[in-house]
Amino acid sequence: MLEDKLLILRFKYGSSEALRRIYEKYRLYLLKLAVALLHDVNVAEDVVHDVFIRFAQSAETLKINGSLKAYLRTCVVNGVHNKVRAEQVRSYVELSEAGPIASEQNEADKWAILKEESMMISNALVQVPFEQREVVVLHLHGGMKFREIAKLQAVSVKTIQSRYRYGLDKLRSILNSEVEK
Amino acid sequence: MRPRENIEKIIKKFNIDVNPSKDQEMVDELRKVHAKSRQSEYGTSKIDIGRIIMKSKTTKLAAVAVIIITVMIGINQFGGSIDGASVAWAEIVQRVEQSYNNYYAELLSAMEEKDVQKASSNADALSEFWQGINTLAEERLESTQESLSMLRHESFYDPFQEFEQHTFIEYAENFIAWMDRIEDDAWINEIIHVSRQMEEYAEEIRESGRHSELDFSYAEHCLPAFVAYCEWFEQLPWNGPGQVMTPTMLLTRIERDLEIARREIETLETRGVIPFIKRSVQQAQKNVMDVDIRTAASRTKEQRELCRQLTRRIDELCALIIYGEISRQDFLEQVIKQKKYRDYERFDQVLTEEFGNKGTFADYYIKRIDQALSLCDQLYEGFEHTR
Repeated sequence: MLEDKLLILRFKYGSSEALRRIYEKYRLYLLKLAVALLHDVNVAEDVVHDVFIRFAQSAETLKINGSLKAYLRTCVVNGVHNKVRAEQVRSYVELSEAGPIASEQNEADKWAILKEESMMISNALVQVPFEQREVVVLHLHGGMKFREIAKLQAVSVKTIQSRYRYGLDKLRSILNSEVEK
Repeated sequence: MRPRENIEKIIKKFNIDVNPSKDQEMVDELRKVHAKSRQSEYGTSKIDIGRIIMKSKTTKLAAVAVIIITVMIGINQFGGSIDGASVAWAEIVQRVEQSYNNYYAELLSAMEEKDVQKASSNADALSEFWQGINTLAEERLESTQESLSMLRHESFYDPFQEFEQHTFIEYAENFIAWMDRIEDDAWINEIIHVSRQMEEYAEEIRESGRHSELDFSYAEHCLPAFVAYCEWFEQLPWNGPGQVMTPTMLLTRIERDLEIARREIETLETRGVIPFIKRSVQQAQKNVMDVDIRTAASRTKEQRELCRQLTRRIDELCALIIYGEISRQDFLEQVIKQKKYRDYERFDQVLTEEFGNKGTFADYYIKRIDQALSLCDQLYEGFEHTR
């Protein structure tokens, strides 16, 4: 995208205005991905915060071969993986444990705000195993193709398609049982 | 049970909002971090990008080249093409070529002096220059409007206070006028192809220069092909745009690309150069298809046969390259890891020994390229000589 190329160019030459534009353009997208993947809003905010801070520090060394959006998305996904590996979030919860993550922050300190419908979807997503959740979220919200996700997860496209199918099936049964309540 | 599509729709409804005050805090924090990183890099008490960029002739020229290219992209989206006066056009060509030629000349002298730092620095600027050309040409093909709002809303020129905005717009409009007069997308595709190759070569030279004397030899390997493409760029019809690409011109390009591939293969021992060869041969393949389309109605029987043979030769070359790539990736690494061969050995010889009796791999490629070039010569006869 030409606008992004120009923004990167200006950012590299020191424009803080370009940095602000990049932040405004992509923060919602990245926060949404992180929250959908992690369910824990606090941890998701930390991940996205760290990505932008590192980006802001990287003007001199930054080199993006593909798109800026994909680059930032990859940074967030890697941050998510680190959190999951470090067990700062649980990769999967059972139904009885799913629910809104109680925030230790008060409303004024929150960065990302979820409405009720989104909370319900997030509660459903967290009950899906992480590998399946990641495929669903990256495909539906990240805009990634299956072959791109396959490369990310280092598995075949067929495996990704299966994970997507199983993830949606699981979500369907969770959401149906929500409706029946 | 809800169908799959309904579930997908529901999941897509997941959304978030941001707290505006927290958002602003984040912006402020990012500005501080950004400013601090710039300050610690240069040791200045305030950000003065103009001064930083203009501290050397080299970076100044880089800034000029980059500004010109990116402004051209923006102005194009304004739909500001006009029939530029020849004087204004000459100025913009001169300005672009001046920056480009300066870097090019400095790069060549750095190579002669074996000055790795200087070569790397100039290659860096050239890489950005060609990236700009590439972007301009791609945008010309796509005709997107994405930069329009951005350039209208914000001043792009703040860091570069030495250059006046209206002057650039005037120069840029004439350059865009030239681009707009090109009726034949084949020209634009050629510019894209050449600019991508040039960008890659410049990157390779830059990276080579960062490491050591040994790696610098790879920069020398890149140079002949780099020079060949530079010569093509300099011969663009700057004064006579709008030419339709004739079959003869396409054949010239096929020859150029095959020659580039040939030079690459001849120096195969320096480093794996499959991507460069592949790009050159694929471009030749594309030009062969264009020749086919453009001459179909008027070809003689003999020309049809020559075109068919040329197509087959080029397709075979592409298959060889893919074969080489697959072999290299799947097999060669294993072979080397098994310590049957040492890392510095020519991988084409390794492939030859593993895959049978075809002579050395490089010679096999070159033979096929020579056959394709010979077919090009034969095809020249009978086409109009409009070179």
